Amino acid sequence: MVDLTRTVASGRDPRPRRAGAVPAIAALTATLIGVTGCTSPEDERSATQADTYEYVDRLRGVNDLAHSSLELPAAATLAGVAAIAMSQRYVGAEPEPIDDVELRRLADRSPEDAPAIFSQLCEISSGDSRKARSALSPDDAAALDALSAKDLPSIDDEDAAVLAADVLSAMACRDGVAATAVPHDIRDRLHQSVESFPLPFASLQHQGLLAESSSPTVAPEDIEQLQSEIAAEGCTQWRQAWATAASRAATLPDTIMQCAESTTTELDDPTVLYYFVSAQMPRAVLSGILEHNAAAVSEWSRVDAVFSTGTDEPTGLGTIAATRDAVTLLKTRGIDTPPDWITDGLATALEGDPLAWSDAGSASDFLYLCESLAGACPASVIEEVRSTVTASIEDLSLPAPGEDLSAARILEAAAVAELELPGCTPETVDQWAQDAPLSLAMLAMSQKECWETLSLSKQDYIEDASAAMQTTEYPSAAGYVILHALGTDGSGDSEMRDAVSASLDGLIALIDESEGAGYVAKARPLPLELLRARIEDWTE
Amino acid sequence: MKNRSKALAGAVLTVGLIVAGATSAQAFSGSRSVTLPGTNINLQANAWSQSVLSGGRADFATSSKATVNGSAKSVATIKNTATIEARGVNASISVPGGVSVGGSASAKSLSWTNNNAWISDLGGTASYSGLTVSVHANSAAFAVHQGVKNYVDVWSW
Repeated sequence: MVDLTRTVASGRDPRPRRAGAVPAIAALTATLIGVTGCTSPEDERSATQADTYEYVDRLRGVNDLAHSSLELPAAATLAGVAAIAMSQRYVGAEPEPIDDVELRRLADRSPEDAPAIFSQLCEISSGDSRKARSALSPDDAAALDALSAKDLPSIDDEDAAVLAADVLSAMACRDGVAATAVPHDIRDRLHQSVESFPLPFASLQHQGLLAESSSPTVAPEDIEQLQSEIAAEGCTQWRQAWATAASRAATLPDTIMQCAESTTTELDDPTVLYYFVSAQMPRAVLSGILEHNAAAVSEWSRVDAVFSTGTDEPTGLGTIAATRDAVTLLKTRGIDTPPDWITDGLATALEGDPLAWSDAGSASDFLYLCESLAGACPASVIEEVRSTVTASIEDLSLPAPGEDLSAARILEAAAVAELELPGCTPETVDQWAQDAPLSLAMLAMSQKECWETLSLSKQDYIEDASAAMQTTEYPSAAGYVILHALGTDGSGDSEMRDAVSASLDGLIALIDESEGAGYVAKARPLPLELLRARIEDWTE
Repeated sequence: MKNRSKALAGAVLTVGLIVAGATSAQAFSGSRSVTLPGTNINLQANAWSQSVLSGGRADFATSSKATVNGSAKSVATIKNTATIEARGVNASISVPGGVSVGGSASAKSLSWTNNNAWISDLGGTASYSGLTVSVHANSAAFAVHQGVKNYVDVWSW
């Protein structure tokens, strides 16, 4: 237990800081200008700062190949890859082969039901039902095997029609029979349900569920609407799909026909290719579009690709806690000016429900960010989160195993905000050092009695840090590095740095072994970035 | 209109406050949108998960929403699939009602579908084990409307 003596933290790191805390932009500019030749420590520091700044800036786009979807393909990938394969075959090109393992991964991530998944797998597999079925999960395979005409939904609108088409298409691929074998009464209901909707009409016709000679009904007002949209906003991919589908049923104005025949349309959603093919777009036009978008199509063909639209970029990213970690990382590397997305995101979060900062952990995250980003928070919010954090500190006791990181975050925020911190006694610091080293380090930065009575040797610190690195409490390893640094003259300790960095490298090797070679280098998980920065900062 | 999986009901109640907080900060979590083809309907996927791991449990919240000019818009079918993934050394994760993704112990998913609704959402608490570096939540939105489909997904972090 901590004693009842309270100390007001200075909020400043007691250790002499290095000259690395130069204005971030100036440092980055120097790096970007790129001085070649011999490398000085200052150059290395600037390069590290530039790398860190770029890394944090990139976190905004965290939809994110590197961080998350490294292993799991996007949910839309199966539909996208199926559409790409179909369009490539349509223009006479050979689709990239996809092996069975990747097919299974695509099927696993699809949000659709078994019939639709199987139909798309059939498209990719050029109708090879055995290969398509082998990619299904056991549950979906069982559902496919049991599929029969009685599973058809009531076909009373265009949405039910496309879902029914999935069932019919899956049965046709499974049984190797032509879709045209579907009873006439069902085909009539499909026709009636989609006759006013050119896109689903085209897709059903492509599947052989509607007669080749039939056409959708296109209302004059729909044509006028499309014409006006193209005039106002240009020919987008979906307008082109609609125009192509409608062109088979009606004589369209020149504006729309020019759109239907454009080969320079920018694609941001590969599933549109399915409708291009379904609507029997002229092969030369589709070939031109594929060539114009070759880079995007190539990217989408990777099973870990993430599809996005040009106009709807990710907004924000990360939780407040993760954003705080990003700011801590920047500060640890001596960068005081964060990327704009951080302050913008904090402003957005502050517009939300105050419940977001009602618990101590969240309140400490907001407090840390509000104190670190001058002028970012209204006084009322600061007052509220200060009050919450103060109350939580008053109740603080020795963190239980597994709670060091949570407690350390609260104490660190309190120190930054210059709140009163718990004091330390010689009787308790050893227990804190054993169970909650990072929390103790946060206290010790402003109170020498929290470290001066510790009786650990450098080797003890190294061994404890290395041991922590092999547990779920790996961020606690930084606590031992900080505590050791506080007990020395602050001139740096390369032996400590090398030893603990080697332990971190060992942890990374284990993670790579578990997650795949090179995972950490590519994904750069924020907790590991922060841990390395702290190790280097406190041993420099 | 908003429904939740029965399997999750206990978890949702347990973390009610946290999920409410998550929702309020949703714009600050992962969020991506696409347009339903041929319409002006926006399909949005939202994901939230905590990034600071402690105590072997991680809260998450995901949603799919359909809107027109920012206002709710009912669509024929709207589905949300939450995938929770743990990364690290021998990392594994369990989610009430979740099923394994690709036979993996480190990723579990669960889904909810609403018809004639503008939203489908999920939330709860995942339990992780092993030396876990991070826990991610993915939210996949899927919708069918006017005979066309679209998909979008996003990771919380």
